[in-house]
Amino acid sequence: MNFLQPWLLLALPLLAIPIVIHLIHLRRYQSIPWAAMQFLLTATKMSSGYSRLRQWLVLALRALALAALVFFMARPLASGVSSWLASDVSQLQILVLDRSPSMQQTVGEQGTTKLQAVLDNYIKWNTTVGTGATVVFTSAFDEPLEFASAQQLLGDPRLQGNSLTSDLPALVENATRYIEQKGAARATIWIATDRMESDWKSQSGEWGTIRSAVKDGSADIRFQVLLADSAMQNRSIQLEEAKLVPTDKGSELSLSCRVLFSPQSGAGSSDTKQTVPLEIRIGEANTLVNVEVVSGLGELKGFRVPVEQASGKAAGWGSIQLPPDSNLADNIAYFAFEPPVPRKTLIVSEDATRLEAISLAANISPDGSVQHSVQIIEPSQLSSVLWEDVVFVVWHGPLPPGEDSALIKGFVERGGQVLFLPPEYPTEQSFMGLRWSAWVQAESASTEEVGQRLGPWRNDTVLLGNTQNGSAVPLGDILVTRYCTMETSGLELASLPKEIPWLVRLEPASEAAIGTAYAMASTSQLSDLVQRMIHEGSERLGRRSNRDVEGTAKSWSGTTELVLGNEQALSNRRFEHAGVYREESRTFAQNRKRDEDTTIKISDQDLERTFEGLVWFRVDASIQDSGVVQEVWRWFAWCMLIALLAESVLSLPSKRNQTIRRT
Amino acid sequence: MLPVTRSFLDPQVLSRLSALPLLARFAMQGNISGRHASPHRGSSVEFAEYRKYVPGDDLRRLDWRAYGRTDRYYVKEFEADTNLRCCLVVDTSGSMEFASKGNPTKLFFAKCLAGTLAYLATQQGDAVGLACASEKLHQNIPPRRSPAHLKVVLDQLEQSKGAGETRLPAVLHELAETFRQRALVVVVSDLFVDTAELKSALEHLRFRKHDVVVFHLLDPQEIAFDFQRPVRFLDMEGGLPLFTDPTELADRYHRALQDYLEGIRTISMETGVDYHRAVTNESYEQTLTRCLLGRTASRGVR
Repeated sequence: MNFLQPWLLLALPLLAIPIVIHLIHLRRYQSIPWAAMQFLLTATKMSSGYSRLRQWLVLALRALALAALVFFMARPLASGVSSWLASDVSQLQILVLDRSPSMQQTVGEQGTTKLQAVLDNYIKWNTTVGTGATVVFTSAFDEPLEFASAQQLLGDPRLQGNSLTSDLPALVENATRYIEQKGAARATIWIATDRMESDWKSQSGEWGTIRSAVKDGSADIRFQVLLADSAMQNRSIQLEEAKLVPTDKGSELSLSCRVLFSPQSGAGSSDTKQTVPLEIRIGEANTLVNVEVVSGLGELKGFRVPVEQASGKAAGWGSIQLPPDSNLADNIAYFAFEPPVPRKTLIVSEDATRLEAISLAANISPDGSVQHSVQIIEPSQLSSVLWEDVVFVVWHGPLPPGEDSALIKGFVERGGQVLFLPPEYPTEQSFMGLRWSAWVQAESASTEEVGQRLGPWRNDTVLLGNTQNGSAVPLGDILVTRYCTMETSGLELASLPKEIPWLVRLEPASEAAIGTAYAMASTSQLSDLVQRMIHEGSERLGRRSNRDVEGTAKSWSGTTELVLGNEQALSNRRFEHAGVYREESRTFAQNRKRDEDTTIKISDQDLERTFEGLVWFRVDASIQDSGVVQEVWRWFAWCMLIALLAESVLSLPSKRNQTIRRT
Repeated sequence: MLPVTRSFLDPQVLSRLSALPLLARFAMQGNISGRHASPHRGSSVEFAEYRKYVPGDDLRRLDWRAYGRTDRYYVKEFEADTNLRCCLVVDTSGSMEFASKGNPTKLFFAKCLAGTLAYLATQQGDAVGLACASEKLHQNIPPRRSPAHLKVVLDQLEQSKGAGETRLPAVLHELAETFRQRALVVVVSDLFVDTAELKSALEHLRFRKHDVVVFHLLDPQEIAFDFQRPVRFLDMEGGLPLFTDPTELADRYHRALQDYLEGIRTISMETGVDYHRAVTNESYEQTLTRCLLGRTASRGVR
């Protein structure tokens, strides 16, 4: 029990008023000559138990009525911890808001979404308590949003649902950092979200960092987890692939997608088949396709649509849409298609003969629809290169000096991938924190092998991560007989025995850099790495027609136009929404990440583990709630009324038989 | 018509009550002829019985007709009517001076009752006496039937003031022993005495064949006891004062009062006294009318 105006409790000594009045009443007696003393004396000798008890009861009820009045005026709050949180309204209120597609699921028949429910709950709490200002941390905003009052949160277009998966640990970490920067002594971080594990990332090590930071920090931080949940059925659609396939008559669009049922759905949890109609829109033409859903999963594999008939040209865009259900945000998947862009690999080498294997690997396209090419030049020819199609640069030679250096850095900043290989004669030149030292002959681990085997390496990176079927990249098969030592401050990805760095990710050229530069200590042959770098370069340079929504506007220019998607989104915030967009002459589509459609929810145990050792409370928000905190003054008003009523009943003069019979 | 110049006597009330006789419930032994039944035979018009003639009887009372029929001598006897001795016992203790706001004191009310009764009794030829009692018998005027004696009684009533404790039972015992003949004993008091002692005194009077009338006076406030503030009660009969909160005590007070009144009523029934309870905010005329009418209906047996 806490109070919005606790200073009014100072009036509690007023409880003594009835007692004082009682004492004064006793003092104000009158003297009366009295004849019938014998009855008085008899009455005083009689048992006075109930009478005395009644007197004390009346006194107690009067005091209780006063106490109830004081409590009533002090505006008591209930709802357990929320009221406790409200006890110090001067503290900093931070709202970490999850706006992911899962938060756009409705929680009731009235169409209220989880996002609206948590916001309404928070606003009600804030309005009731009167804490005023709120700082909001949410996805796609690097800087916190500051609101002078909670009411401003309502209807703010920046806080509408988007297509991004919220990174809650990162947002909470930003919030804690903000609190430290502001020097606040006390703060409450409200985490308004649902139970989606994709947002929580409960296994992430960042939570451990947050726990340590909060415990060690000077600020007293409390967490209030405002959870929204919905028991309604939901279906979602994921785009697997949308690519042009050349045919004899031209091109056909091959579409693959998956339909997922939420586990709460009755149809998804049983083996019963269900047919779901998919509306495929390509340009302005619609096609209806039925998909069989078994055990909560339905797949459309390689559905072919002749492009010429659909749009009349080889490039285009469209969407696949499910019938409406409880969550409209995950019912549509957008796609765009265009003829594959050639992927050019630029090999800059003084001695290209040593890189034939790499050249060969770069020239092979894993997908027949994409054209790969390789251009081999010498460092001196770098200025004459046409960079338009280049996605991957292999630099074999002394590290780039002067103008070459600027060209390579610019390429990396745009998203290109660069692999530095050691020259035969290392120089003192350094580039992006890398400097080659000297060649070393690798010691053989055994007499049967020549050279050293690689290992260990990090498989949590894009470059060296496991393949889709779960097997590791075959780095362990490589035998290194000779390597060049390097001095670098980059991140070591793979190493030789004795912790000798072999593959290093160099420091970014700038904070805005999208691409990556690597350095490899030998010229070993590994076609997988080359293919991955080409693919990554192609992706980073924006050559993808279909991509995931990203929480940054770095690759977003002001000329990007919306073709299909959320028209209500702010024009400068479209990058966080799924849809089809056109940038100059190129059309691309972006969809929410697949993680968002996973139905894995964070368990109570994981939630407790996440906030282990911290002061945290959980409130389940729903539209039925009148708020996470309630004023309970009505109870005290009732209490006062009952006390006064009981007091008046007890104070009623007893029915006296004043008609004394004459005889 | 007797002179009436007292504050406690109202000529109009006296005039109205003159129509009602003051009768004894039992046979009285008076000296002269009167309105009351006598245990003796007399010369009234009311036939009593035949009795055999004995020598010495007045021949004039011989019933010749009976002699003619039976050839025996019978004497015809008639009931005797006599006067009574009315002894007014007025409680003049301190408690009788109590009066709540707007009401007369109990003593004044007693004077009204006693004075009016004295007047009525004298008017119908009965002897009237007065005894004023508090802790002892202060004044005792023996009953006489002359109108001049009425002045003495009324003077004494007028002069009497309430003071001292109530020792009414003792006084009644004393009076019971004092009266030589049957009398109508009228007790006017608030009866704030021990009920057992009172019962004993009344039984004593009844044992002496006296017709006892008790006027029990109560003030309305003594019944209501509706004080709202703490009060320091000063005993009007000299006892220790009592400080209390009447609101707290009221229930028990009323219970005690009720028990007491029930006790008095029981005593009156057991001892056969003519008991009348009077509240001082009522008219004393009503009280007297009620008393006189009740006695008319139960006129005394011989």
